[in-house]
Amino acid sequence: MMDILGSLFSWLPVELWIMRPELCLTLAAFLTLIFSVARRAFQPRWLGYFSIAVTAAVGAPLLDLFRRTTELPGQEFVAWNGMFVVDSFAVFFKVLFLLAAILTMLMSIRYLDVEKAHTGEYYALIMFAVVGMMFMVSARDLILLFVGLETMSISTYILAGYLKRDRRSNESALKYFLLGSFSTGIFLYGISLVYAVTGSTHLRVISDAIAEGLVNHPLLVLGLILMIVALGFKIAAVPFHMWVPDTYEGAPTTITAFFSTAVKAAGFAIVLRILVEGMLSARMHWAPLVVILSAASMIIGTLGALLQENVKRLLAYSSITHVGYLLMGVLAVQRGADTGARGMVAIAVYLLAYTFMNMGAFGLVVALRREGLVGDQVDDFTGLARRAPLAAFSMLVFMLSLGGIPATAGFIGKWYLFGAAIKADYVWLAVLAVLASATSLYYYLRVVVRMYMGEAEEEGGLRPSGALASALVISLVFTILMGLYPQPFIWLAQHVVLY
Amino acid sequence: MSSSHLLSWIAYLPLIGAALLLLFPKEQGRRMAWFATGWAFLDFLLSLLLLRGFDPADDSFQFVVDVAWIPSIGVRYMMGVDGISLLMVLLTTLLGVIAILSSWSAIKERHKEYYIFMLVLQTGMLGVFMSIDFFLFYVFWEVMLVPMYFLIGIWGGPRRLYAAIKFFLYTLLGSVLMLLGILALYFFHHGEFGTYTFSIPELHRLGALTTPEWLEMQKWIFLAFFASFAIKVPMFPFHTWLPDAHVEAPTAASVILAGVLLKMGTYGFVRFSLPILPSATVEFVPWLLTLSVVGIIYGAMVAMVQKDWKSLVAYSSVSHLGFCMLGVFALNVNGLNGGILQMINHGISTGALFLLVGIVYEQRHTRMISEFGGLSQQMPGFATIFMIITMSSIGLPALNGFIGEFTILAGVFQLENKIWAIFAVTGIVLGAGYMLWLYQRTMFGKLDKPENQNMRDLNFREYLTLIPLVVLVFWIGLYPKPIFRILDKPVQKLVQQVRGTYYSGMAVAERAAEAEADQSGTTSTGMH
Repeated sequence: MMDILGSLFSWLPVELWIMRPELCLTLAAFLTLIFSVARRAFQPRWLGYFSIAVTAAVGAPLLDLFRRTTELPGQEFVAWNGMFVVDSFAVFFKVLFLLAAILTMLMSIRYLDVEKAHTGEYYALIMFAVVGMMFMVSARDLILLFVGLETMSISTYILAGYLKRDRRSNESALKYFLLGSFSTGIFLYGISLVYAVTGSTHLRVISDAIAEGLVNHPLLVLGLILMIVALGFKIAAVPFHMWVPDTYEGAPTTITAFFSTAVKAAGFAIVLRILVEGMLSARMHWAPLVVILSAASMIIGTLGALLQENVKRLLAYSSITHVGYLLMGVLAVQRGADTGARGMVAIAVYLLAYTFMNMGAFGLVVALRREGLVGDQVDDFTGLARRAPLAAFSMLVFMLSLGGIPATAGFIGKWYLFGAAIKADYVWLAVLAVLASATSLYYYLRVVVRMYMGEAEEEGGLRPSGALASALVISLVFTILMGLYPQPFIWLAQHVVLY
Repeated sequence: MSSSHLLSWIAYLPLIGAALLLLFPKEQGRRMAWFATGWAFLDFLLSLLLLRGFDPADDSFQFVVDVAWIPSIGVRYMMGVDGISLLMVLLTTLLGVIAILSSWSAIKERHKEYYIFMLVLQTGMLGVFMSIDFFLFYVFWEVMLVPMYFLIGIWGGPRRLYAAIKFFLYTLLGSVLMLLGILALYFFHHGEFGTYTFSIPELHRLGALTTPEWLEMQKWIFLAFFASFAIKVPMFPFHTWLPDAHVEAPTAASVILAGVLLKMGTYGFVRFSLPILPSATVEFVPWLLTLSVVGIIYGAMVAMVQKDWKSLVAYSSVSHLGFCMLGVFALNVNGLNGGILQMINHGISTGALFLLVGIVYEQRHTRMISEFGGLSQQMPGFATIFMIITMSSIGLPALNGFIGEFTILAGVFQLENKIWAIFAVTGIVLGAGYMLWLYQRTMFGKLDKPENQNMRDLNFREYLTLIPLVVLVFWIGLYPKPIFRILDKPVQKLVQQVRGTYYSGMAVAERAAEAEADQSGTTSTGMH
């Protein structure tokens, strides 16, 4: 299969050949758009299946690239004057985006029918967003990175407001758009300042320039700070998190799931690209800021989630806490082989685990949605253990995993991140993190309490669509598998290293 | 079944049983009870096989299973038992059968989930005692919270939700701090020996190290471990989750909680803190002994004024565990022997006490001591067994409690400072006070409450749950030698591990003192 696909593209020049995944996905997105015009001939549902199939198929060239980039450490393909790079770091994140996109689309098919908003554009937008993310993680030039970021952002602004008759969805999109474009502006300003000082937008050139003595240049530091602020918006770190609860609550649940996994992972990928590949020599400038972001995210995220009655808001705040944990991984990246890799591997492991468990948790919220029930209140889970034992069990696993209880994926992720923090001598931050994670069990268990210890007011189990059920099963199986036998996942994540 | 995987079989058999329970139709509650009891009994029999192959003359881990699990981070699937953990495993499998058998009539709804959680809990606890890889240990240590949380939260008393979440968060808070300690240990070991490992025999090597950096670090790691183990034990002042959890939990969960779960804390101290962090342990020992003694007296005094039968027993646990810790922190052979034996004894006697309360509660739906009186006329069998257990609990000679407390006190009296021993003895007096007073108020006097007049005596199943414990009470009381024989080697090794560096540390201090004394021209008095 891979050989066939490989030979299919072998006539391409190498610049395009390494962009096969992006090209395929872009093409598929356009096709979906064109097909969706002819609504009679192509039902949106079938466009959904088509998009899922294409996204899954894009995995094949990616795996091929993964194999090639991991043959030797540091192996990479560079094209377009060094702007576009395919290394194992980029490929890992691309696989993660595809995974999140597939799970999102699987969850969407019935959901959009219930919301009466099923059109083909939805899938095309998701694919465009993924293409944007793919360019982001492959960009070694700030301009290309910015273009990728905007491609992703604009697609996600639209997706957030996709339920156009729903006021909450509109509010969600508007807030997301306003704050998002604001942060984009700040980001661009940061880039221009860095360019002014170093004379380049290429990360390697910037890195060299910083190492050669520009490190304390005030404009460079200002540019760096502005970029961190903007990235803080994108990954939703406190104090740049204000949009998160409303956006997560109002956006279609499937899209919220997508935001909290793929979009967040893309944000962390560029954080690493910029701070590690471009600015590692300026670590003394960015590390204190990241410490503050991390600690504040853990504290505010945990406190915010404690009393939420809405599951989507709860998960929104919890995702802020998780950003706090992940930022410890960024801090752990230092000069020095062993420690440095540990931070990045930790982030990769955590994002992988987080994708499965968070997708699963949102998937359950989607499963509760039906005519006349939004299904996003904690109370909507009451008595689920009796009505649908398997669904309740899945939710239990996802909640425990998010809380970092062993034998689930979340624990492995936490183990890695906390270990990275300890190893990098951020012990107090690690203590804060474990306190936050213990406290977080309180709100995750609130859902469990309703499911297992509350009496159901209604009868009848959940009847998720086949696609949604398969998404849930995938999430569940991987959440448990990664908890019990994490070796292959860790092996995968160990390739996430920037040289 | 290969004998080298015997431990794994014992650990996972209950889990297999839990999976099989899924196949039962929802209505067949009684059949599930039979099945779960039989299955747990099978596990108990299997664990008895350990006794046959166990060599008490060997102080290392036996029946070892060692398989690579997560090679990237040096985690191995390692199981093994020494004398200490062997006894804990046997206690767990035995109390497991008894607890499940005791729930037949108490559990009236959601049978399937109940027995599944009970069996999963068994696997978790057995795993804790068998793991000799710290990572694996931690996995079992935390996973086991989940079934217990459900057991309290679903089948508990009126304030069950509060008690369940309090139990969960309290213990979790401790364990996450321990996680940081484990990580620090893991990295330090790598720095020292160049390998990433969680293997406990391997980590024990750190105990002999005396670099100043390590001695400083030991203190922090000790505190991190202490957070976890002291909450689990529970030591004063970290005990506040215990009365709530005990009072609200269903009888069987209380039995397991008191009998096995609390022992995980003491076991943790014995297995990790003492041998890996000896100098920190020695440094903190005055504090630890003080907390233990305060626990003994405070627990006893609070037990004295309880109006609720079950919470009286719960507070008595705080007091008794104080004794266990006192023995352990005496850090000598007698103290540790007694402390570990008392862990077993407490499992037996307090387990039985909770069973007895449960039996009364099932009939009367109240546990207020003032509601009872004169029950011995109505329930002679119950009264007899209750008397034996009471005597065991207060340490009457010829019963198990005496052997434990006596050995502990023998160890504590060996300490330089006798103050702890003196205070501990008052705890025994108080213990006799509240237990006998409880007995008097419930069993003797006039049977004046009409509700109590048609209470029935123990039935066959209830006898079946209590008789094995009574037998053990007498056996350990009259002939404890087999148990001491099993404990002998590992305890000696432990004392060697703790005291070895202690003595060498003392020797250094002594030499320094002597040198100083020589310089100033006075004669050295020496230390010992």
